[in-house]
Amino acid sequence: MTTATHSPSVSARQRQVQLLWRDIRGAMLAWRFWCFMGWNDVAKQYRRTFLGPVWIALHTALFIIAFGLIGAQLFKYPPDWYLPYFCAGHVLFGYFSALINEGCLTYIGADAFLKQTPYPKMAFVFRTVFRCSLLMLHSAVIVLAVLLWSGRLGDVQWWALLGAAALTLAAACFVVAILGGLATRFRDVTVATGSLMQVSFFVTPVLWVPDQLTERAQWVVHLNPLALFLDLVRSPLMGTVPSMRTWGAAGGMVVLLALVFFWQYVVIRRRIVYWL
Amino acid sequence: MRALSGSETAYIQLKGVSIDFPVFTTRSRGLLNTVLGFPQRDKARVESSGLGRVSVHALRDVNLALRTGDRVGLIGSNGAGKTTLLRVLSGVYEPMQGDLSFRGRVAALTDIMLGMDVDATGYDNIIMRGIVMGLTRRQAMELVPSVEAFTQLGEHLQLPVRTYSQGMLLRLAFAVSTSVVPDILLMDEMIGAGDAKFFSQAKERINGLIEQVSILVLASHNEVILRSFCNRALVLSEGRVVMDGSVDDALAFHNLQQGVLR
Repeated sequence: MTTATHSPSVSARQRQVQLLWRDIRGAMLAWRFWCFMGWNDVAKQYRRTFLGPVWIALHTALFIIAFGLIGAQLFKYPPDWYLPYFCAGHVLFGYFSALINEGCLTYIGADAFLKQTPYPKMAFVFRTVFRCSLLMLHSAVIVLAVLLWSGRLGDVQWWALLGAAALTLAAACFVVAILGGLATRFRDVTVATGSLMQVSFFVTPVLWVPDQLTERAQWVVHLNPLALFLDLVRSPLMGTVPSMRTWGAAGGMVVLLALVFFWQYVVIRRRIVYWL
Repeated sequence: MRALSGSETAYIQLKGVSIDFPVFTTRSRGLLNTVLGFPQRDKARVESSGLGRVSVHALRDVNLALRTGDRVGLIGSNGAGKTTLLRVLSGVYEPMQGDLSFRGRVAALTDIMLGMDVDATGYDNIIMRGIVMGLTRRQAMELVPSVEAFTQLGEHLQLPVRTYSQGMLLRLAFAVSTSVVPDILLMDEMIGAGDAKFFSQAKERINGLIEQVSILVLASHNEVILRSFCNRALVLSEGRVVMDGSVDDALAFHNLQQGVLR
Protein backbone atom coordinates (compact mmCIF):
# COMPACT_ATOMS: atom_id res chain seq x y z
CA MET A 1 0.00 0.00 0.00
CA THR A 2 2.86 2.32 0.66
CA THR A 3 6.01 3.36 -1.06
CA ALA A 4 8.99 1.34 0.07
CA THR A 5 12.50 2.45 -0.55
CA HIS A 6 15.44 1.96 1.76
CA SER A 7 19.16 2.44 1.83
CA PRO A 8 21.19 -0.77 1.88
CA SER A 9 23.60 0.61 4.47
CA VAL A 10 21.44 -0.24 7.49
CA SER A 11 21.83 -3.64 9.12
CA ALA A 12 19.07 -6.22 9.00
CA ARG A 13 18.24 -5.73 12.69
CA GLN A 14 18.11 -1.94 12.39
CA ARG A 15 15.89 -2.34 9.38
CA GLN A 16 13.45 -4.49 11.39
CA VAL A 17 13.38 -1.85 14.12
CA GLN A 18 12.59 0.79 11.49
CA LEU A 19 9.86 -1.37 10.01
CA LEU A 20 8.35 -1.92 13.47
CA TRP A 21 8.12 1.83 14.03
CA ARG A 22 6.62 2.21 10.57
CA ASP A 23 4.08 -0.49 11.44
CA ILE A 24 3.06 1.25 14.69
CA ARG A 25 2.82 4.64 12.99
CA GLY A 26 0.92 3.19 10.05
CA ALA A 27 -1.56 1.54 12.42
CA MET A 28 -2.17 4.79 14.25
CA LEU A 29 -2.77 6.60 10.97
CA ALA A 30 -5.16 3.82 9.94
CA TRP A 31 -7.39 4.53 12.95
CA ARG A 32 -10.41 4.67 10.65
CA PHE A 33 -9.81 1.07 9.67
CA TRP A 34 -9.48 -0.46 13.12
CA CYS A 35 -12.13 1.74 14.74
CA PHE A 36 -14.50 0.69 12.02
CA MET A 37 -13.56 -2.99 12.28
CA GLY A 38 -13.85 -2.96 16.06
CA TRP A 39 -17.15 -1.13 15.90
CA ASN A 40 -18.46 -3.58 13.33
CA ASP A 41 -17.39 -6.54 15.49
CA VAL A 42 -19.67 -5.19 18.20
CA ALA A 43 -22.48 -4.17 15.83
CA LYS A 44 -22.47 -7.69 14.38
CA GLN A 45 -23.64 -9.04 17.71
CA TYR A 46 -26.64 -6.71 17.70
CA ARG A 47 -27.90 -7.24 14.19
CA ARG A 48 -31.23 -9.04 14.19
CA THR A 49 -31.63 -8.67 17.94
CA PHE A 50 -34.43 -6.61 19.47
CA LEU A 51 -32.76 -5.26 22.61
CA GLY A 52 -29.29 -5.06 21.08
CA PRO A 53 -26.71 -3.46 23.39
CA VAL A 54 -29.13 -3.62 26.31
CA TRP A 55 -28.53 -7.37 26.52
CA ILE A 56 -24.93 -7.00 27.59
CA ALA A 57 -25.80 -4.49 30.30
CA LEU A 58 -28.79 -6.58 31.36
CA HIS A 59 -26.67 -9.70 31.75
CA THR A 60 -24.16 -7.83 33.91
CA ALA A 61 -26.90 -6.21 36.00
CA LEU A 62 -28.61 -9.52 36.73
CA PHE A 63 -25.41 -11.24 37.76
CA ILE A 64 -24.24 -8.37 39.93
CA ILE A 65 -27.49 -7.93 41.80
CA ALA A 66 -27.87 -11.67 42.33
CA PHE A 67 -24.38 -12.37 43.60
CA GLY A 68 -23.76 -8.92 45.08
CA LEU A 69 -26.51 -9.31 47.65
CA ILE A 70 -25.50 -12.85 48.57
CA GLY A 71 -21.79 -11.97 48.65
CA ALA A 72 -22.40 -9.07 51.03
CA GLN A 73 -24.01 -11.54 53.48
CA LEU A 74 -21.38 -14.24 52.94
CA PHE A 75 -18.44 -11.94 53.52
CA LYS A 76 -20.32 -9.75 56.07
CA TYR A 77 -19.90 -6.39 54.33
CA PRO A 78 -22.54 -3.66 54.07
CA PRO A 79 -24.26 -4.05 50.66
CA ASP A 80 -23.75 -0.37 49.79
CA TRP A 81 -19.99 -1.02 49.96
CA TYR A 82 -19.78 -4.60 48.71
CA LEU A 83 -22.10 -4.21 45.72
CA PRO A 84 -20.08 -1.44 43.99
CA TYR A 85 -16.84 -3.23 44.96
CA PHE A 86 -17.96 -6.49 43.41
CA CYS A 87 -19.64 -4.78 40.46
CA ALA A 88 -16.52 -2.82 39.47
CA GLY A 89 -14.38 -5.92 40.01
CA HIS A 90 -16.62 -8.12 37.91
CA VAL A 91 -16.80 -5.67 35.00
CA LEU A 92 -13.06 -5.03 35.05
CA PHE A 93 -12.12 -8.69 35.34
CA GLY A 94 -14.46 -9.45 32.44
CA TYR A 95 -12.60 -6.78 30.46
CA PHE A 96 -9.15 -8.19 31.30
CA SER A 97 -10.33 -11.68 30.56
CA ALA A 98 -11.77 -10.67 27.16
CA LEU A 99 -8.55 -8.84 26.27
CA ILE A 100 -6.40 -11.83 27.09
CA ASN A 101 -8.63 -14.47 25.49
CA GLU A 102 -9.46 -12.49 22.36
CA GLY A 103 -5.94 -11.12 22.20
CA CYS A 104 -4.76 -14.61 21.30
CA LEU A 105 -7.02 -14.56 18.23
CA THR A 106 -5.92 -11.12 17.02
CA TYR A 107 -4.06 -12.41 13.96
CA ILE A 108 -5.54 -15.90 13.67
CA GLY A 109 -8.99 -14.34 13.25
CA ALA A 110 -7.78 -11.82 10.67
CA ASP A 111 -5.92 -14.19 8.35
CA ALA A 112 -8.04 -13.32 5.29
CA PHE A 113 -7.12 -9.64 5.71
CA LEU A 114 -3.46 -10.19 6.44
CA LYS A 115 -2.99 -12.55 3.49
CA GLN A 116 -4.43 -10.11 0.96
CA THR A 117 -3.08 -6.71 1.96
CA PRO A 118 -0.01 -5.70 4.01
CA TYR A 119 -1.98 -3.95 6.73
CA PRO A 120 0.10 -2.77 9.68
CA LYS A 121 -0.02 -5.61 12.21
CA MET A 122 -0.71 -3.23 15.08
CA ALA A 123 -3.96 -2.17 13.43
CA PHE A 124 -5.40 -5.56 14.42
CA VAL A 125 -4.07 -5.18 17.96
CA PHE A 126 -5.85 -1.84 18.23
CA ARG A 127 -8.97 -3.41 16.77
CA THR A 128 -9.07 -6.07 19.50
CA VAL A 129 -8.40 -3.54 22.26
CA PHE A 130 -11.00 -1.15 20.84
CA ARG A 131 -13.65 -3.88 20.54
CA CYS A 132 -13.09 -5.18 24.09
CA SER A 133 -13.14 -1.62 25.45
CA LEU A 134 -16.41 -0.84 23.67
CA LEU A 135 -18.02 -3.95 25.15
CA MET A 136 -16.68 -3.09 28.61
CA LEU A 137 -18.21 0.38 28.37
CA HIS A 138 -21.64 -1.23 27.98
CA SER A 139 -21.30 -2.80 31.42
CA ALA A 140 -19.62 0.31 32.81
CA VAL A 141 -23.07 1.90 32.76
CA ILE A 142 -24.11 -0.61 35.42
CA VAL A 143 -21.08 0.29 37.55
CA LEU A 144 -22.15 3.94 37.45
CA ALA A 145 -25.72 2.98 38.29
CA VAL A 146 -24.61 0.92 41.30
CA LEU A 147 -22.34 3.75 42.48
CA LEU A 148 -25.26 6.16 42.20
CA TRP A 149 -27.53 3.77 44.13
CA SER A 150 -24.99 3.37 46.93
CA GLY A 151 -24.41 7.14 47.10
CA ARG A 152 -20.71 6.76 46.25
CA LEU A 153 -20.73 8.45 42.85
CA GLY A 154 -19.57 11.73 44.44
CA ASP A 155 -16.52 10.03 45.99
CA VAL A 156 -15.11 8.76 42.69
CA GLN A 157 -11.58 10.06 42.07
CA TRP A 158 -12.00 10.96 38.40
CA TRP A 159 -8.46 12.13 37.70
CA ALA A 160 -6.93 9.04 39.27
CA LEU A 161 -9.43 6.96 37.30
CA LEU A 162 -8.31 8.61 34.07
CA GLY A 163 -4.66 7.92 34.84
CA ALA A 164 -5.43 4.33 35.79
CA ALA A 165 -7.43 3.85 32.57
CA ALA A 166 -4.53 5.21 30.48
CA LEU A 167 -2.03 2.82 32.10
CA THR A 168 -4.43 -0.10 31.70
CA LEU A 169 -5.01 0.69 28.02
CA ALA A 170 -1.26 0.85 27.39
CA ALA A 171 -0.76 -2.49 29.13
CA ALA A 172 -3.72 -3.94 27.20
CA CYS A 173 -2.19 -3.02 23.82
CA PHE A 174 1.12 -4.66 24.72
CA VAL A 175 -0.51 -7.79 26.18
CA VAL A 176 -2.77 -8.25 23.15
CA ALA A 177 0.19 -7.80 20.79
CA ILE A 178 2.42 -10.21 22.72
CA LEU A 179 -0.25 -12.91 23.08
CA GLY A 180 -1.49 -12.43 19.52
CA GLY A 181 1.98 -13.06 18.11
CA LEU A 182 2.68 -15.94 20.46
CA ALA A 183 -0.64 -17.68 19.82
CA THR A 184 -0.22 -17.46 16.05
CA ARG A 185 3.06 -19.35 16.28
CA PHE A 186 2.09 -21.74 19.11
CA ARG A 187 -1.57 -22.58 18.78
CA ASP A 188 -1.68 -24.10 22.28
CA VAL A 189 -1.44 -20.63 23.79
CA THR A 190 -5.11 -19.87 23.10
CA VAL A 191 -6.25 -22.97 24.95
CA ALA A 192 -3.75 -22.47 27.77
CA THR A 193 -4.72 -18.85 28.46
CA GLY A 194 -8.40 -19.82 28.37
CA SER A 195 -8.05 -22.25 31.23
CA LEU A 196 -5.59 -20.01 33.05
CA MET A 197 -8.10 -17.15 33.01
CA GLN A 198 -10.78 -19.39 34.52
CA VAL A 199 -8.50 -20.24 37.42
CA SER A 200 -7.27 -16.68 37.86
CA PHE A 201 -10.84 -15.51 38.53
CA PHE A 202 -10.56 -17.23 41.92
CA VAL A 203 -7.06 -16.07 42.82
CA THR A 204 -7.83 -12.46 41.89
CA PRO A 205 -9.80 -10.38 44.40
CA VAL A 206 -12.98 -9.98 42.36
CA LEU A 207 -15.44 -11.62 44.76
CA TRP A 208 -13.31 -11.37 47.86
CA VAL A 209 -11.28 -8.62 49.51
CA PRO A 210 -7.47 -8.93 49.95
CA ASP A 211 -7.77 -8.07 53.69
CA GLN A 212 -9.59 -11.36 54.21
CA LEU A 213 -6.42 -13.27 53.40
CA THR A 214 -3.93 -14.09 56.13
CA GLU A 215 -0.54 -12.41 56.13
CA ARG A 216 1.05 -15.54 54.72
CA ALA A 217 -1.32 -15.69 51.73
CA GLN A 218 -0.91 -12.05 50.68
CA TRP A 219 1.58 -13.02 47.99
CA VAL A 220 -1.37 -14.28 45.92
CA VAL A 221 -2.40 -10.66 45.50
CA HIS A 222 1.07 -9.12 45.41
CA LEU A 223 2.39 -11.32 42.64
CA ASN A 224 -0.77 -11.21 40.52
CA PRO A 225 -0.63 -8.61 37.75
CA LEU A 226 -4.39 -8.90 37.24
CA ALA A 227 -4.93 -8.00 40.91
CA LEU A 228 -2.58 -5.05 40.45
CA PHE A 229 -4.50 -3.53 37.55
CA LEU A 230 -7.83 -4.41 39.19
CA ASP A 231 -6.77 -2.49 42.29
CA LEU A 232 -5.44 0.38 40.18
CA VAL A 233 -8.77 1.01 38.46
CA ARG A 234 -11.14 -0.08 41.22
CA SER A 235 -9.64 2.09 43.99
CA PRO A 236 -10.51 5.43 42.35
CA LEU A 237 -14.02 4.11 41.66
CA MET A 238 -14.35 3.26 45.36
CA GLY A 239 -13.17 6.72 46.32
CA THR A 240 -9.49 6.25 47.17
CA VAL A 241 -6.48 7.30 45.12
CA PRO A 242 -4.20 4.26 44.54
CA SER A 243 -1.02 4.19 46.61
CA MET A 244 2.28 5.26 45.09
CA ARG A 245 3.33 1.63 45.28
CA THR A 246 0.43 0.63 43.06
CA TRP A 247 1.15 3.39 40.53
CA GLY A 248 4.81 2.45 40.49
CA ALA A 249 4.12 -1.25 40.07
CA ALA A 250 1.63 -0.64 37.25
CA GLY A 251 4.01 1.76 35.51
CA GLY A 252 6.83 -0.75 35.85
CA MET A 253 4.57 -3.45 34.46
CA VAL A 254 3.81 -1.34 31.38
CA VAL A 255 7.52 -0.69 30.79
CA LEU A 256 8.28 -4.40 31.17
CA LEU A 257 5.52 -5.34 28.71
CA ALA A 258 6.76 -2.69 26.28
CA LEU A 259 10.27 -4.16 26.38
CA VAL A 260 8.99 -7.71 25.82
CA PHE A 261 6.79 -6.47 22.98
CA PHE A 262 9.62 -4.61 21.31
CA TRP A 263 12.05 -7.49 21.56
CA GLN A 264 9.42 -9.96 20.31
CA TYR A 265 8.17 -7.87 17.39
CA VAL A 266 11.57 -6.92 15.99
CA VAL A 267 11.96 -10.66 15.44
CA ILE A 268 8.47 -11.89 14.61
CA ARG A 269 6.57 -8.99 12.99
CA ARG A 270 7.22 -10.06 9.40
CA ARG A 271 6.89 -13.76 10.24
CA ILE A 272 3.31 -13.53 11.51
CA VAL A 273 1.77 -13.86 8.05
CA TYR A 274 3.90 -16.93 7.30
CA TRP A 275 2.41 -18.64 10.36
CA LEU A 276 -1.22 -18.04 9.43
CA MET B 1 -0.80 5.06 1.55
CA ARG B 2 -0.33 7.74 -1.06
CA ALA B 3 -0.75 8.00 -4.79
CA LEU B 4 2.24 8.64 -6.98
CA SER B 5 3.00 12.20 -7.92
CA GLY B 6 3.30 13.09 -11.58
CA SER B 7 7.03 12.56 -12.06
CA GLU B 8 7.22 9.20 -10.26
CA THR B 9 6.67 5.91 -11.98
CA ALA B 10 5.58 2.67 -10.40
CA TYR B 11 7.95 -0.28 -10.24
CA ILE B 12 8.52 -3.51 -8.35
CA GLN B 13 11.89 -5.13 -8.03
CA LEU B 14 12.76 -8.51 -6.53
CA LYS B 15 16.38 -9.45 -5.98
CA GLY B 16 17.20 -13.03 -5.04
CA VAL B 17 13.92 -13.53 -3.20
CA SER B 18 13.36 -16.94 -1.64
CA ILE B 19 10.32 -17.78 0.43
CA ASP B 20 10.34 -20.73 2.82
CA PHE B 21 7.38 -21.78 4.89
CA PRO B 22 8.02 -23.36 8.24
CA VAL B 23 5.84 -26.41 8.81
CA PHE B 24 5.01 -26.88 12.47
CA THR B 25 3.32 -30.26 12.47
CA THR B 26 5.69 -32.16 14.75
CA ARG B 27 3.68 -35.37 14.63
CA SER B 28 3.65 -35.63 10.88
CA ARG B 29 7.38 -36.21 10.65
CA GLY B 30 6.76 -39.81 9.79
CA LEU B 31 4.51 -38.76 6.95
CA LEU B 32 6.95 -36.13 5.75
CA ASN B 33 9.70 -38.68 5.74
CA THR B 34 7.65 -40.76 3.36
CA VAL B 35 7.17 -37.68 1.19
CA LEU B 36 10.91 -37.11 1.22
CA GLY B 37 11.45 -40.75 0.40
CA PHE B 38 9.83 -40.34 -3.00
CA PRO B 39 12.19 -39.85 -5.92
CA GLN B 40 12.20 -36.12 -6.63
CA ARG B 41 12.07 -34.71 -10.14
CA ASP B 42 13.76 -31.48 -9.25
CA LYS B 43 15.58 -30.44 -6.12
CA ALA B 44 13.53 -31.24 -3.06
CA ARG B 45 11.06 -28.51 -2.09
CA VAL B 46 10.50 -30.01 1.34
CA GLU B 47 13.53 -29.80 3.51
CA SER B 48 14.12 -31.25 6.94
CA SER B 49 16.97 -29.53 8.76
CA GLY B 50 17.16 -31.79 11.79
CA LEU B 51 15.60 -30.93 15.17
CA GLY B 52 12.21 -31.68 13.64
CA ARG B 53 12.14 -28.37 11.77
CA VAL B 54 10.66 -28.81 8.34
CA SER B 55 10.26 -26.10 5.74
CA VAL B 56 8.75 -25.90 2.29
CA HIS B 57 10.50 -23.86 -0.39
CA ALA B 58 7.70 -21.91 -2.02
CA LEU B 59 9.89 -19.53 -4.04
CA ARG B 60 13.55 -19.82 -4.88
CA ASP B 61 15.90 -17.05 -5.92
CA VAL B 62 13.40 -14.96 -7.84
CA ASN B 63 14.84 -11.93 -9.65
CA LEU B 64 12.33 -9.68 -11.29
CA ALA B 65 11.87 -6.09 -12.40
CA LEU B 66 8.41 -4.86 -13.30
CA ARG B 67 8.05 -1.41 -14.83
CA THR B 68 5.21 0.90 -15.76
CA GLY B 69 3.29 -0.49 -18.71
CA ASP B 70 3.99 -4.12 -17.86
CA ARG B 71 0.95 -6.38 -18.08
CA VAL B 72 2.39 -9.55 -16.67
CA GLY B 73 0.79 -12.98 -16.82
CA LEU B 74 1.85 -15.60 -14.27
CA ILE B 75 1.79 -19.11 -15.71
CA GLY B 76 2.47 -22.33 -13.88
CA SER B 77 0.81 -25.52 -12.76
CA ASN B 78 -0.80 -25.82 -9.34
CA GLY B 79 1.71 -25.38 -6.54
CA ALA B 80 4.28 -23.70 -8.79
CA GLY B 81 4.29 -20.60 -6.55
CA LYS B 82 1.94 -18.21 -8.38
CA THR B 83 -0.10 -17.22 -5.33
CA THR B 84 3.02 -16.96 -3.17
CA LEU B 85 4.66 -14.67 -5.72
CA LEU B 86 1.53 -12.49 -5.86
CA ARG B 87 1.64 -12.23 -2.06
CA VAL B 88 5.30 -11.23 -2.16
CA LEU B 89 4.50 -8.56 -4.76
CA SER B 90 1.62 -7.27 -2.63
CA GLY B 91 3.97 -6.92 0.35
CA VAL B 92 2.17 -9.51 2.46
CA TYR B 93 5.10 -11.92 2.62
CA GLU B 94 8.14 -9.84 3.49
CA PRO B 95 11.06 -11.87 2.13
CA MET B 96 13.37 -13.46 4.70
CA GLN B 97 16.01 -13.83 1.98
CA GLY B 98 16.50 -11.36 -0.80
CA ASP B 99 15.08 -7.94 -1.29
CA LEU B 100 11.80 -6.42 -2.39
CA SER B 101 11.45 -2.78 -3.31
CA PHE B 102 8.49 -1.11 -4.91
CA ARG B 103 6.91 2.24 -5.55
CA GLY B 104 3.25 2.91 -5.98
CA ARG B 105 -0.01 1.86 -4.38
CA VAL B 106 -0.55 -1.88 -4.60
CA ALA B 107 -3.96 -3.53 -4.54
CA ALA B 108 -4.61 -7.24 -4.64
CA LEU B 109 -8.00 -8.27 -5.98
CA THR B 110 -7.73 -11.84 -4.79
CA ASP B 111 -10.73 -11.89 -2.47
CA ILE B 112 -13.20 -9.24 -3.63
CA MET B 113 -15.63 -9.97 -0.79
CA LEU B 114 -13.07 -9.31 1.96
CA GLY B 115 -14.62 -7.19 4.71
CA MET B 116 -18.20 -7.69 3.61
CA ASP B 117 -20.81 -8.79 6.13
CA VAL B 118 -23.87 -10.76 5.02
CA ASP B 119 -26.06 -9.39 7.79
CA ALA B 120 -25.42 -5.76 6.82
CA THR B 121 -27.32 -3.98 4.04
CA GLY B 122 -25.96 -3.48 0.53
CA TYR B 123 -25.28 0.19 1.24
CA ASP B 124 -23.43 -0.64 4.47
CA ASN B 125 -21.36 -3.18 2.58
CA ILE B 126 -20.27 -0.59 0.02
CA ILE B 127 -18.90 1.50 2.89
CA MET B 128 -17.38 -1.51 4.67
CA ARG B 129 -15.65 -2.87 1.60
CA GLY B 130 -14.44 0.66 0.78
CA ILE B 131 -12.91 1.17 4.22
CA VAL B 132 -11.25 -2.26 4.10
CA MET B 133 -9.67 -1.19 0.79
CA GLY B 134 -8.23 1.86 2.52
CA LEU B 135 -10.76 4.59 1.75
CA THR B 136 -12.16 7.05 4.24
CA ARG B 137 -15.86 6.86 5.01
CA ARG B 138 -16.49 9.93 2.86
CA GLN B 139 -14.54 8.50 -0.09
CA ALA B 140 -16.48 5.26 0.27
CA MET B 141 -19.79 7.18 0.26
CA GLU B 142 -18.76 8.82 -3.00
CA LEU B 143 -18.66 5.38 -4.62
CA VAL B 144 -22.36 4.78 -3.94
CA PRO B 145 -23.85 6.37 -7.08
CA SER B 146 -21.51 4.56 -9.48
CA VAL B 147 -22.05 1.26 -7.66
CA GLU B 148 -25.81 1.80 -7.78
CA ALA B 149 -25.59 2.43 -11.51
CA PHE B 150 -23.35 -0.53 -12.27
CA THR B 151 -25.03 -3.18 -10.11
CA GLN B 152 -28.62 -2.26 -11.03
CA LEU B 153 -29.61 -3.63 -7.64
CA GLY B 154 -32.04 -0.77 -6.94
CA GLU B 155 -33.99 -1.22 -3.72
CA HIS B 156 -32.15 -4.44 -2.90
CA LEU B 157 -29.26 -2.28 -1.70
CA GLN B 158 -31.40 -1.41 1.33
CA LEU B 159 -31.73 -5.09 2.29
CA PRO B 160 -29.23 -7.28 4.11
CA VAL B 161 -26.81 -8.90 1.71
CA ARG B 162 -27.79 -12.37 2.96
CA THR B 163 -31.03 -12.01 0.97
CA TYR B 164 -29.05 -11.64 -2.29
CA SER B 165 -28.46 -14.36 -4.83
CA GLN B 166 -24.86 -15.39 -5.55
CA GLY B 167 -24.88 -13.34 -8.75
CA MET B 168 -26.17 -10.20 -7.01
CA LEU B 169 -23.57 -10.52 -4.26
CA LEU B 170 -20.80 -10.95 -6.81
CA ARG B 171 -21.99 -7.92 -8.76
CA LEU B 172 -21.90 -5.77 -5.62
CA ALA B 173 -18.46 -6.98 -4.51
CA PHE B 174 -17.11 -6.61 -8.04
CA ALA B 175 -18.47 -3.08 -8.45
CA VAL B 176 -16.95 -1.78 -5.22
CA SER B 177 -13.65 -3.63 -5.63
CA THR B 178 -13.08 -2.25 -9.13
CA SER B 179 -13.92 1.35 -8.13
CA VAL B 180 -10.52 2.08 -6.66
CA VAL B 181 -7.65 2.48 -9.10
CA PRO B 182 -4.25 1.47 -7.68
CA ASP B 183 -0.86 1.91 -9.36
CA ILE B 184 -0.11 -1.79 -9.22
CA LEU B 185 -2.94 -4.30 -9.58
CA LEU B 186 -2.54 -7.95 -8.64
CA MET B 187 -5.11 -10.59 -9.55
CA ASP B 188 -5.31 -14.33 -8.94
CA GLU B 189 -7.48 -15.53 -11.83
CA MET B 190 -9.71 -13.07 -13.65
CA ILE B 191 -12.66 -11.99 -11.55
CA GLY B 192 -16.15 -11.72 -12.93
CA ALA B 193 -18.75 -14.32 -13.69
CA GLY B 194 -22.52 -14.45 -13.47
CA ASP B 195 -24.90 -14.24 -16.39
CA ALA B 196 -23.84 -13.33 -19.91
CA LYS B 197 -25.08 -9.75 -19.77
CA PHE B 198 -23.24 -9.09 -16.53
CA PHE B 199 -20.14 -10.76 -17.88
CA SER B 200 -19.85 -8.35 -20.78
CA GLN B 201 -20.42 -5.36 -18.46
CA ALA B 202 -17.85 -6.74 -16.04
CA LYS B 203 -15.35 -7.20 -18.83
CA GLU B 204 -15.76 -3.60 -19.90
CA ARG B 205 -15.27 -2.39 -16.35
CA ILE B 206 -12.20 -4.54 -15.70
CA ASN B 207 -10.71 -3.43 -19.04
CA GLY B 208 -11.17 0.16 -17.95
CA LEU B 209 -9.47 -0.55 -14.64
CA ILE B 210 -6.56 -2.39 -16.22
CA GLU B 211 -5.99 0.46 -18.68
CA GLN B 212 -5.62 2.91 -15.81
CA VAL B 213 -3.16 0.99 -13.65
CA SER B 214 0.59 1.25 -14.24
CA ILE B 215 1.41 -2.40 -13.66
CA LEU B 216 -0.83 -5.46 -13.83
CA VAL B 217 0.12 -8.91 -12.59
CA LEU B 218 -2.42 -11.60 -13.38
CA ALA B 219 -2.09 -15.25 -12.48
CA SER B 220 -4.25 -17.42 -14.69
CA HIS B 221 -4.63 -20.83 -16.26
CA ASN B 222 -6.74 -19.40 -19.08
CA GLU B 223 -4.75 -18.85 -22.30
CA VAL B 224 -7.40 -16.63 -23.90
CA ILE B 225 -7.43 -14.29 -20.90
CA LEU B 226 -3.63 -14.21 -20.70
CA ARG B 227 -3.36 -13.40 -24.41
CA SER B 228 -5.94 -10.64 -24.30
CA PHE B 229 -4.70 -8.83 -21.18
CA CYS B 230 -0.95 -9.40 -20.96
CA ASN B 231 2.10 -8.23 -22.89
CA ARG B 232 4.63 -10.22 -20.89
CA ALA B 233 4.52 -13.55 -19.09
CA LEU B 234 6.49 -15.47 -16.49
CA VAL B 235 6.48 -19.24 -16.20
CA LEU B 236 6.88 -20.55 -12.67
CA SER B 237 7.94 -24.07 -11.94
CA GLU B 238 8.78 -25.51 -8.54
CA GLY B 239 9.12 -22.03 -7.09
CA ARG B 240 11.50 -20.72 -9.74
CA VAL B 241 10.94 -18.33 -12.62
CA VAL B 242 11.96 -20.56 -15.53
CA MET B 243 10.88 -18.27 -18.37
CA ASP B 244 10.30 -14.57 -18.79
CA GLY B 245 9.19 -13.36 -22.19
CA SER B 246 6.28 -12.76 -24.51
CA VAL B 247 2.93 -14.39 -23.72
CA ASP B 248 3.07 -16.67 -26.76
CA ASP B 249 6.58 -17.88 -26.02
CA ALA B 250 5.79 -18.42 -22.36
CA LEU B 251 2.63 -20.39 -23.11
CA ALA B 252 4.47 -22.52 -25.66
CA PHE B 253 7.25 -23.14 -23.16
CA HIS B 254 4.80 -24.04 -20.42
CA ASN B 255 2.80 -26.39 -22.62
CA LEU B 256 5.96 -28.08 -23.82
CA GLN B 257 7.14 -28.51 -20.26
CA GLN B 258 3.79 -29.98 -19.25
CA GLY B 259 3.88 -32.32 -22.23
CA VAL B 260 7.35 -33.59 -21.39
CA LEU B 261 6.39 -34.25 -17.81
CA ARG B 262 3.32 -36.14 -18.90
